Amino acid sequence: MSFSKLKKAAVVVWWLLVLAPNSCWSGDLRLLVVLSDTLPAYQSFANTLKQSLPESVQAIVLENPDEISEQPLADIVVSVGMKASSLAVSQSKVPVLVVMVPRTSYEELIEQKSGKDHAPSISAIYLDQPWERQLNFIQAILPTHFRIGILYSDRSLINMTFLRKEASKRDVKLITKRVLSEDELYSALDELLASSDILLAVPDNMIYNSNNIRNILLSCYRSGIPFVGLSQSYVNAGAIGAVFSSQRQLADQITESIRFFVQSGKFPQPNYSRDFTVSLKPEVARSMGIKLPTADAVKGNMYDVNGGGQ
Amino acid sequence: MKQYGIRLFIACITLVPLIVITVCLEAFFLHNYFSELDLHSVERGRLIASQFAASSEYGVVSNNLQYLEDITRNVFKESDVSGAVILNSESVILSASGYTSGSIDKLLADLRYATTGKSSGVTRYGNGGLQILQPILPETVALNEFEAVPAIKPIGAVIVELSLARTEKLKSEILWYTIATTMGFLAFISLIVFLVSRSITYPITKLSNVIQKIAHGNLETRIDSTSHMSELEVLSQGINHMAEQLQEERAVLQQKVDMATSDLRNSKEKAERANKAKSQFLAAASHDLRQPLHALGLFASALNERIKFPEVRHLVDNINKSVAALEELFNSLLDISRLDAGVIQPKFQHFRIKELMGRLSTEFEAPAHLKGLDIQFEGADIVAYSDPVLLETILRNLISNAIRYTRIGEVKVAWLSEGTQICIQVRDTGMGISEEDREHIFQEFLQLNNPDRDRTKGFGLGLAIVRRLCSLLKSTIFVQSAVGTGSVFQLNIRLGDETQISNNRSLLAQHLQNEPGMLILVIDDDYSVQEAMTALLKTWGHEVIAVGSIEEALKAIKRSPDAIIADYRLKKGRTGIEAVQSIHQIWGGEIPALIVTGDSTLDLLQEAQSSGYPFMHKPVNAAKLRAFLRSSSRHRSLPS
Repeated sequence: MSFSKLKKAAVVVWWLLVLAPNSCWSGDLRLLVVLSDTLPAYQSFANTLKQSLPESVQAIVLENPDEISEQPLADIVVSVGMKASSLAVSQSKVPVLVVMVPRTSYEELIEQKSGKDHAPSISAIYLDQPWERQLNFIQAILPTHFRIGILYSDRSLINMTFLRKEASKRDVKLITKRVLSEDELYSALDELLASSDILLAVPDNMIYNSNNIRNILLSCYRSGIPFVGLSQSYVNAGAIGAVFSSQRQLADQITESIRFFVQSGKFPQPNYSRDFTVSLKPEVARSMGIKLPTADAVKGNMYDVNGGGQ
Repeated sequence: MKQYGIRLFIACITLVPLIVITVCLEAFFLHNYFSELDLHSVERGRLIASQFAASSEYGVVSNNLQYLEDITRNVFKESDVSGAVILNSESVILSASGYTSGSIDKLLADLRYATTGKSSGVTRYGNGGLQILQPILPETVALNEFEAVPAIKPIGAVIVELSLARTEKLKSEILWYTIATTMGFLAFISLIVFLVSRSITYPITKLSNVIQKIAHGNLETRIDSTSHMSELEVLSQGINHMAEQLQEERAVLQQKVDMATSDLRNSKEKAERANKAKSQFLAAASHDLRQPLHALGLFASALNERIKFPEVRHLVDNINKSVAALEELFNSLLDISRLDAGVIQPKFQHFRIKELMGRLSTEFEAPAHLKGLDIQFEGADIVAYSDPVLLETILRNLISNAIRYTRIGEVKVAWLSEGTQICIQVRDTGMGISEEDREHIFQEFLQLNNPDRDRTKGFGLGLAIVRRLCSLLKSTIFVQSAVGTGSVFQLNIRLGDETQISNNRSLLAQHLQNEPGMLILVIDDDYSVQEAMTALLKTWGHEVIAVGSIEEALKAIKRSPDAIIADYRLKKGRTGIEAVQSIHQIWGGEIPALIVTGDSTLDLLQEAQSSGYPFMHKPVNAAKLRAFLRSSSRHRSLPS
């Protein structure tokens, strides 16, 4: 029996082991889903999560995160978004799974929390995509664009050192420009676009928001620089493409983590979403004279290149 | 009450509501249309501004001034756009077209004032146009659905100024077009109303004209039925019928009038014949009466000269008085017939009225005082232009009447000048004349308060003569009177000119001159008249040759007589005029001659007048005869 066959057999056994003791699911696992806001997106995510969860899990959705301490004690808390997560991490006495929060933000939360004794188990599934995946994605769709421009500010959730290291690994050049205030945004952008082949968005509310994105996209278009976004909304707005995890993919991973918690009494390590979605906008690419591969091809290429996207 | 024609009424009831409705509708639609135009302008301005703002967004964000200038220029090229400006969020002008720097500062000041407290666009009228300020808002694109949409802040603003000149011109054109159309429409309607009203008024006017003609007596007039209106047709038929009726009745009346007129004409002719017969009778009677009366007068005068016994003289006086009365009556009748015959023609001349009044004063003072009346003549020494003889006769009649009818009090004659006239009044304090009598006093033989016809009160011919004389002198006579108080007779004559008074000595002076003994030839076929005349003339110291015919005269005369007195009607159909002419042929034409006649027919009087010889009616007044002789002696004494 080859190693690969053994590995496959192990996976089957693992799944049997996991799924067999249904009795553990039949227990009274109470899940408190705390939303940061009443925005429809949070509601939608809560619904998706509920649909993903097995029927034995009693999920209670709390729309107002301030009421978290008043809630009857649950077995697990799933905090959705920054505000809910911040409150849950500081106030919850049961294990907390943080979702819909970028890695940097989660790490800040943990840093604040550290030092306190008897902290319950905390883990996370990050909202953002790993930089490796992002760079893989860029390489997969724009293999001839080497200068990756990044506009950032002090509020940007970005680990520049790690990023540079990853870039150097891939023989691409990282061009960065810091924006001190909103007023300087466009001059900084012009400057950056002048020396970049591609603009990669970073999670930064000051730079990339509903009001600015159109003009940023326009600037990019006029400069002939493709813009890589962070979500489907960016692609909708005019970005050439984005790699991201959908709500369903996140919900499935949460369900998986809960199952892991039921079985082992602890959450898996905080990690990025394992599964991801590739979204492309061939119309934009065509306008800019760029020929894009298909999304599936890109995704397959990414898996091939980095083995599971990591 | 003010009256209006049918046309005006029709015009009022049709045109006034039409005009009101038309004007109201036009005003309503124009107002709506203009409002829509204004709204359209505003909408268009806002559309341009919002597109301008949208297209400027990226340029403002990227501060691409060249790009912004292009956009501004393109907006400015739009029709009606008179200005376009782009500002950034700090109101710094990034691009502007259609403004000077001064005007743009003012515009910004105005708009800042207008936009105070507003974040949305502002539309205002100013600078003769429409100014629209539109903030430039970034186009939002939903990006992070897990975050609330951030507040949108304007990144700048655009200003668009839209000229309203084209809109106003369009409005003006539409207004004038509407007015012209309305006027045309109203003119057309007015024409129709005019034609319709004429079709009503024309037959009515025709009817009216026909009625007026009928009213003026033209009953033959008829109306041609040309109206299409049944009511007017009925009316015209009625009028025609009425005219026919009137015509028939008038014919009947005319017939009656003609008959009555014919009767009247017959009566008049009968009366005229009677009047003529009366005149002929009067003329004949006066001639036949004059002959014996003339003789009687002459005899009586001769007798008076010779009678020495007082008792007989008294009888002779009475005879004389009776003769005088008869003479007066005959003279008056003769005067009237002469005046009626037009024999007497006034001889107008300038003379002093005071002299005339002096004579009358002398004449009437005695009779007035005899009756115990005061008589006064008052007036300025002015010159009159009239016939002094006729005027004297008028006044003599009036004064003698006044004295006759006044018992106590006074008679006053006064005259004064009034402009170009002289007003002469004869006043008395007599019995007066009642109002109804005043209309009749100028008729012949009318005597007031003399039912017994007392001869001493005259014959009632005086005022009849006065009336005739006044009309001859073309002067008017008025009477004012109150019963028991007195009467005033007033006549007006023309004022004369002193410079044109003739140098004739007054008649009064002539009276004073006495005549010497003369040889006088008397020719009369009536022997008694011959005798009487001879007796009288001889008493005056004259030598007389009395003959009965022309032939006798020619035989009897041995030397040239100093004067000839000839009867007009002689035997064998000869006349006194012929006798005088025969003697003049032998003895020269300078011998003064007097024609005497008892005839008063008009033909005779006119012949006598034309012969040029002095002329006296029988019975001859002794005084007049004497006056003739005096003038004859003066004439004879003058060198030939």
